[in-house]
Amino acid sequence: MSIKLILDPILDHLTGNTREMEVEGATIGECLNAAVSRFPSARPGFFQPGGELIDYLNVLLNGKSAFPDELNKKVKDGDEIRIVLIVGGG
Amino acid sequence: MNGWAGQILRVYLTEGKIVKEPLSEEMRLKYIGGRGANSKVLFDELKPGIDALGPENIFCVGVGPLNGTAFPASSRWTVSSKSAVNEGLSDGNGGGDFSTELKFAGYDQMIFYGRSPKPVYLYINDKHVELRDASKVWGKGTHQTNALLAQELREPELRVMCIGQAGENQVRVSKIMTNITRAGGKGGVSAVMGSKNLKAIAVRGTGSVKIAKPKEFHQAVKKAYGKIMASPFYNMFRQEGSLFLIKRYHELGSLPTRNLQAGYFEGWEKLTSEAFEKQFAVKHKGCSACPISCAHYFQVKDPKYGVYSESNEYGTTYPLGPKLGIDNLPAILHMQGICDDLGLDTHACGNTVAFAMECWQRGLLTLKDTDGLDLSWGNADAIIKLLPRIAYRQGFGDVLADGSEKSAQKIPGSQICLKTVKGVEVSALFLGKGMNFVQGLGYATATRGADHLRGGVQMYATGSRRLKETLGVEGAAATIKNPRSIEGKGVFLGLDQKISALFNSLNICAWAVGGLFGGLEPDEIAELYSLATGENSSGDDLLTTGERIYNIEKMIQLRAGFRRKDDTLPPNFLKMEETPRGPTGIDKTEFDNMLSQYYEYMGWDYDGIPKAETLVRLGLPDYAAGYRKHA
Ligand code: SF4
Repeated sequence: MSIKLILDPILDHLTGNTREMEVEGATIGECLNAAVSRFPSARPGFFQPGGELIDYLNVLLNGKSAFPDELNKKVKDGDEIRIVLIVGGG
Repeated sequence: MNGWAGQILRVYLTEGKIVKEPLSEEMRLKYIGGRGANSKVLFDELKPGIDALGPENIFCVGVGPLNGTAFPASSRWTVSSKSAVNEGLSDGNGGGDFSTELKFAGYDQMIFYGRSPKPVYLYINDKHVELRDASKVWGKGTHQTNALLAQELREPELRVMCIGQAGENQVRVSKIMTNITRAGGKGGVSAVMGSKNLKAIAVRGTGSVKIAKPKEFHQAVKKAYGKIMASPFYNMFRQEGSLFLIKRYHELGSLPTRNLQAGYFEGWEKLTSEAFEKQFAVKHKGCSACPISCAHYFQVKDPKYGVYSESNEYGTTYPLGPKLGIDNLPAILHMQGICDDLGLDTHACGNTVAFAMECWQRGLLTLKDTDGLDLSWGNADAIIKLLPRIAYRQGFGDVLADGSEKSAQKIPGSQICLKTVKGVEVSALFLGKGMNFVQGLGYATATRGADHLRGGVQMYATGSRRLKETLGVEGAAATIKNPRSIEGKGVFLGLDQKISALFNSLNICAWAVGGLFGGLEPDEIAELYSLATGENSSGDDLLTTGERIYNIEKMIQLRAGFRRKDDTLPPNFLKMEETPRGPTGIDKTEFDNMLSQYYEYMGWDYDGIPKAETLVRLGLPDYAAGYRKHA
């Protein structure tokens, strides 16, 4: 089972500039943890100390917002998880 | 007086008379300064029905109590007048260090009336204030104007606010400049300055700003700097500047492409902050008192597009790049240099050129109409030729000089290409799959016409305590993270707009505000404001002030005749479409529900008119009884 994980560039300094990776897991949370086991320094970039997703990140699962309860959303082989910064302005 | 300088200038250009007056307590405490003080003057003093480019219009420059202090990013100034684009409100907010100099000279606001019989500039050197002949700089670009005035006045430290040739020629897609590249002015306020024969305001100030509790203030400032410096967002923003938005908006399907016909631009990778930094950035640059320093000096060495300038931003890149189908970064930087020197607004001018290019795409314009310029998407070299023609109102340039709505009246069948709200072009983003509906609501209801800075688009309330208190923690998270649901959007936008009115009146930078990324929240701003001014105010007090200001602006809009039907979006945004790359736009009925939700939160009636009880609550009882008379 392989899931594509794409990170917002604000996080890539925590993953040695890797923005896209293949991960494994049954939920979005498991997939993010899989990325953390590869890049331990990414943990504070993804998660608050209590384990919740960082406030200013949104998770798109196959292009659609995974909110609410993003981390427990089930994923399947071939899915794409995209972590994006909640931004606006100009 | 602490914080404020305590003095304003009224300048009667027709008579050549200057009057100094104390800043009133009502103005200080109920409207703060900057945008709030300017809007209040316009609402009270403008006669209904006047010509925006006639001598009866009033032009205001305002700064706030925190300008000239160490408050983070307290570098901004606000210029305001009746709009020359839609008869409502025009204003602009820019950075640099002009505001600091004006405070050091001892002034909070300047109000200009009438029209000078010949071109003049206002020279302020502390207490000395005079109108001087501007014939040496009239007809000159902003670079030369700065240099010539510094030379004439023998003041190397002079700070200049001026217009370029575009403003002189009353081109409505123009802007007012300070520090050569710091710009502001939506709705033609620069043309208003030109209509008054006022070329520049040149300031030298050697005073300082008094702080009520200096020790505590500086400790609180240190804490605020520490918070900003520790934020991963600001760490990234310092490196990339607002260009960081290019790739994110592209990924979210919201990069405004080819006059907002799409949200993806195939050439986006050539325009990113990385591409800019690798090839053209020289070194960092920031406005005064700013720990963020988001700008860069840049240089293009290729002689065809050669330019040395600063402050390449998203706001200069999207309207001269994707919006025109241009992926040639050196050409975009070159065009930015042209716009800054001529005093053309990259947003309004770029968006109007985008309108013309869509007219070309649809066969509504030909070489015969455009004086031989091929306006095909991506043709940067044609646009480089077109920009000066707009500034000088030459040939086809004159057709575009007043903005897309006025141009559309001269190009048969071109209404379909208009992407405006209340006559003002939609700026900054396309309502693509990843964008939040609150951003559409923000464009529809902003008090200057379509606007990415008044709230909604920039989303200042994300992460704010008040959003969570009003909607509940889950509700607040949902309205932010469920972009394409209407739930909570009325509260979200209302809060955003109050926050924007507040920080524009204090004249602190939009980028330093907002809870989610480690920017300053209203409670922190209030603490610093209280320590600086000695006027004890809570975050709630200041937000009520922001709301009061927003309502004053709303009444200016109502006076111009705008009602609920005008709080709307361009037709291609008000249509939900499923595209292969995800949904775009918003369903009309959903939009209408969202608008009602927003009016209710703001205490306005079905037509968007503030209810009497709302105005009384905001300390505006006189207006509650009588403002309809003005409308
Ligand atoms: S964040 Fe950027 S635009 Fe704002 S004050 Fe700082 S340097 Fe200027």
